[in-house]
Amino acid sequence: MTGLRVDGVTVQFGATTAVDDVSLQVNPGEIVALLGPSGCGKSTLLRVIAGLAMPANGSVLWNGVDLGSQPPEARGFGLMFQDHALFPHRNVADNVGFGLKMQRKGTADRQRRVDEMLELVDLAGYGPRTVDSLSGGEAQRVALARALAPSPQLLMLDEPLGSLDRSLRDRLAIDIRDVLKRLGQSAVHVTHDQDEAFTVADSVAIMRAGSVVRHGTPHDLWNDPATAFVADFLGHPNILDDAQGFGGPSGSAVLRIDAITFCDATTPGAIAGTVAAMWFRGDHFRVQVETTMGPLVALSSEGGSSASLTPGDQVHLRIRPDGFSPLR
Amino acid sequence: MPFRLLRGAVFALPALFGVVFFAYPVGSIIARGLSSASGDRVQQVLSGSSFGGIVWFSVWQAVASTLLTVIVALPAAYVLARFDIAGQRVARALLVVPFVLPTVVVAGAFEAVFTRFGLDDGALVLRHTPYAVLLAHVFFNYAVVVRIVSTFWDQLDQRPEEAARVLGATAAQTMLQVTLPRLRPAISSAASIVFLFSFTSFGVILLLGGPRLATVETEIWRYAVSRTEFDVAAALALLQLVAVVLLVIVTTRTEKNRAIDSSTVARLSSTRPQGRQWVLVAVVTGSAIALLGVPILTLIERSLSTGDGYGLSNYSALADPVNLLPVSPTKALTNSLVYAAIAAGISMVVGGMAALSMQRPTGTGAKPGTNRITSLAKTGLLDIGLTLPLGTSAVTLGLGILISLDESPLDFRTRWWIVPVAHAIIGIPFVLRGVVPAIRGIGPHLREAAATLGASPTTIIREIDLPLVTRALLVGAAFAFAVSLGEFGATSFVPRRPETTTAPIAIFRLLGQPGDILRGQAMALSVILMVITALSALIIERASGTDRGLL
Repeated sequence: MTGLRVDGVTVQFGATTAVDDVSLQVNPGEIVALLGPSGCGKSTLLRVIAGLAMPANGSVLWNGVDLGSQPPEARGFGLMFQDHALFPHRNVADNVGFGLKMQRKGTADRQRRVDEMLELVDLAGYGPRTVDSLSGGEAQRVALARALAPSPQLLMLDEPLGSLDRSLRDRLAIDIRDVLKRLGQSAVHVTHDQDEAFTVADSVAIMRAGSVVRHGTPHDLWNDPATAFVADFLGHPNILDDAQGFGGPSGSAVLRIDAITFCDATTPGAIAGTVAAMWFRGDHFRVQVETTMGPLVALSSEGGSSASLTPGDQVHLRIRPDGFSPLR
Repeated sequence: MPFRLLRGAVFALPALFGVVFFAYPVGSIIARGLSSASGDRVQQVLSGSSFGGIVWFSVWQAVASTLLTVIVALPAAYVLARFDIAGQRVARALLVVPFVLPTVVVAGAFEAVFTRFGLDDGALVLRHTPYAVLLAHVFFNYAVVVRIVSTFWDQLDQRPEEAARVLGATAAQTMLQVTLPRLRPAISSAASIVFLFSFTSFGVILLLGGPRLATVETEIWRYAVSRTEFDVAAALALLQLVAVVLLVIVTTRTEKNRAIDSSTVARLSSTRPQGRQWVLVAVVTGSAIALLGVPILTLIERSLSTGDGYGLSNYSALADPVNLLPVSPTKALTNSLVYAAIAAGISMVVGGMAALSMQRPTGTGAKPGTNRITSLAKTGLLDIGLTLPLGTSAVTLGLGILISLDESPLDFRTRWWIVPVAHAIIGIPFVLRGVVPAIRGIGPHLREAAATLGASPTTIIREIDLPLVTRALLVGAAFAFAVSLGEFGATSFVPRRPETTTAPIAIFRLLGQPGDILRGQAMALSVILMVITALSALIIERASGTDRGLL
């Protein structure tokens, strides 16, 4: 049981290289997110794993066995699409039961499994409903139940929440992780949303222009993004060309926003600056402070006191030395 | 791999069908026409003074029919598009009935009108005049213009009209200077279709025009069937084919314009007519009833007339043998129904297979390259091969079968099944027109989802593609059924074994004879055929729902 191994996969569309020599490991029971901007090749890589596209080079192995040109229906992998791709001519139960029917499971077994799956995604009793009558979130859950029903060895999710609005996305991301973890399901989750990747996945592979540039746990990636591209993509606001002036290492580094706090002028090591701009973010403010060494963005959740800040105010910042991570 | 084989069959069967029963016959006409064109006899016919008149009348009647139809139908299109009147949907649906009626039935209906109202002799004679032909063409094509133009009009953004009014234009000025120019794509598209139908009109001219009027189309028939001068017929058919293909090219181009220009923005809902607008509504409704309703009602009335009253004797006489028919009218009707069912079945199977193999190649592991190119060429070939019959007149197809499928191993023209097969060739494009968009509308994700859930390519066709196109397939089959039931042009060429006479042929023979009894039977048979085709048309209308339906 070694799970999925993608080995040096390259995909070309005419002259363009969509996926460039990508290698990736998904351990049994692990959820790996493929995170990257649109057009970075993450969906193409997913299609290669599913057998819906063939690589020009490289191989896909499951438990050490090369899948070669095995067609999608023979791989036993599940795939969930952004547009749900529910079959419009079948009701919810028949959609969920489709994969079981393909496995030639008996009606009774099928019925039981369908009910179980619908219960798992919190849609018990939805079986007879038509696909048209579902809301976006419900359709997404049915698609998840359908993909999970045949107990796939590996589940692939292609931007599964892409068509939903923000609040629903956040809730469903948690639900998806919960369901997958309960089943011990190995999964590859494709998304361009950093929050979603961090919420759902055990580890995140960041893709850029056809290559995986970084693969690690959300925690590691956040604390040590390693390149300016990853740091920027993950939403770090303080990417410094030279961190030495702020007390960090020499050379370029990222300064985590949570390592910056507001303090008094008397605090040792305090850096003085002027508030240049403020952005209200609901449960906190982001405050841009101009210092003599350059601008820094700091987080302030101190409600009343920081809301009383206005551009032009003099403030002092304290920076924790462990907040720096050098960029290569 | 069985799927390979299946895929091969799915492509090969419609291709073979198209080649044997369409490409080869039409190709034979072209070959024979070209080789005989310089012959003395053909030269003599083509340079004869009467031939010039025939070409002139062919074009003249088509132009006049088109202009008349557009003028008569535009007000109705306006009323349907802009006003919200009770019964509008029913009216729209009923409008298509005349369009699908068999030509011999329509000819019978106008014959009924002419005799009933004394227009066959006396001060005003319409029977056997060009006016009879024009009237029948307007009757047929009224719905084409009304439906195409009103659908376009209905979706037209009204703001330019409002802007014109605000800038000081009167309602009439707005109509002439803003609305009509904007409707041009739809009008020209509808007009070119009407022109095409009128130009290739056959049964109407043969029956209503009488012995003195002839078009290129009826001349082909006369030379081939009455005089068995196949060389001349083939040369004329080639001429006609070239003209029609050019017309079809123009038509499809205007069709494209229509598609581009119908982009919709902020259309306003229709309103109920007010004040003087009711007058317009009344005039339009009245003229539609007079034009479309009177012939149909008169046909029914004549079929029930027994000379000294009304009764069903014309209908009961249908079961009796008639001297000039090889079989009884009832038997002819049974033949027609059986052939129509077979033609619908063939159209559905062959058309469905062709549509499946026309699918855009989606890459289940397909490498871009040669594969893609051959499959593109393949689909293109099928596309052309199976849609071309729309541009080939039924008469040309009939002549092609007559002159080409006469030698072993393709000695088919005297087989009974050549009739439904010829009808299927005419019906298949109607199946394709609905099924191809339906198949292309199935997103690739549905098939991919099925594949990852364990469905093999064959299973995907069975579980996903077929259920999703069933409705389009059935609508196409119903259309093919209706077309076959009334088909006259191609059937009139196929040398029939006497027992395979169809209802339209029987009506044609009966109408061509003097004598009230036979005419009464022709009317009765026409009414039965009319009811069946009208029912299939209405079923198609209902089943297509919000889609384009028949027109």
